[in-house]
Amino acid sequence: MPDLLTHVLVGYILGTLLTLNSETGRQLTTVVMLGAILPDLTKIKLVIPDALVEATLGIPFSWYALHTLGGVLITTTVGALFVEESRRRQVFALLFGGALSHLFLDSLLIKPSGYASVVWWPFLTTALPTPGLYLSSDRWPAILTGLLALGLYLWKRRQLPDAHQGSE
Amino acid sequence: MSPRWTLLWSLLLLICVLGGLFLWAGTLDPNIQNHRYPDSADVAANPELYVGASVEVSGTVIETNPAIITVTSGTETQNLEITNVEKPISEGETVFVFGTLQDTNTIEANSVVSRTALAERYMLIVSFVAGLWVLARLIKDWEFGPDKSLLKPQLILKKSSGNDDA
Repeated sequence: MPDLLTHVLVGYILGTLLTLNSETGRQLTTVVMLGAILPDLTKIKLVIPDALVEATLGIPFSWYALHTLGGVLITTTVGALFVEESRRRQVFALLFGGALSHLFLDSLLIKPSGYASVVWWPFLTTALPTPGLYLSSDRWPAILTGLLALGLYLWKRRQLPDAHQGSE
Repeated sequence: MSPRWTLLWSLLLLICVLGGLFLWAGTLDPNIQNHRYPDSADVAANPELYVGASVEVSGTVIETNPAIITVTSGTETQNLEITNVEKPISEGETVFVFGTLQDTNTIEANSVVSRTALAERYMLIVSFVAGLWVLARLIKDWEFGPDKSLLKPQLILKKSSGNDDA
């Protein structure tokens, strides 16, 4: 993955653009940002490794499912269940959008094999070639998205001062 | 069925489906034809299974001459010598290697990508900050509604009042 900051900044940009005309744009943008970090729930493996779960339960197990399209469909649905009923579809769509942006950005990472992780599983079990645009430790993705987010924030303040002072 | 129970059953169903996905993902074996190469966990746990195969592993450099990295499956660790490394690497770096497992202890590299310990720290710090940022926004922007049941807390939109953003 690119660093989590890049994912969150992309979530901020997407969320802001998707909710420009919404009275609750700020709150909904936060939902997209949250969605953008959901796939990294798979990092729980650093605390509880797959092999430990397998040895304990005696069954095959992998946290990696959380970092796939199938996994985020479930986690975003769970997230949407925790909001009031009238907003569930909207929150699901925004969480899912954020999570999709994460998987997409991760499919562009530099990999020594030239093939990305199988993030679209279980709908696609073949690893796709990656253009290899960046390493997860590169700083320029966070700088670039940070500048874009800042520009969008300033633009929105100028264009929508009423909305900014109201819902924002 | 009351909405409370509908929500509870929905959650239980989703948790079961997620559990099923964890199991299913655990059964996914490496498949060279699909470019799913044996990874660090596979090689650390059962290196003898993949001798002669293409593997893609990552690990920390513990020696540079010869290049030796430590890979782990989470419960087991394995030291691997990496041959054919054409770029300079140093101890403490994390390297990502694609190559052929010559024997249970040696990989002939086709491609090596490295990440310095400093870059690793940068990534961890900014990721932590990003997590805090989202958490702070969640706390500020959302709150639990006056739900009568502890089992189905609902988040509702706060009445907007501030004038800040990012």
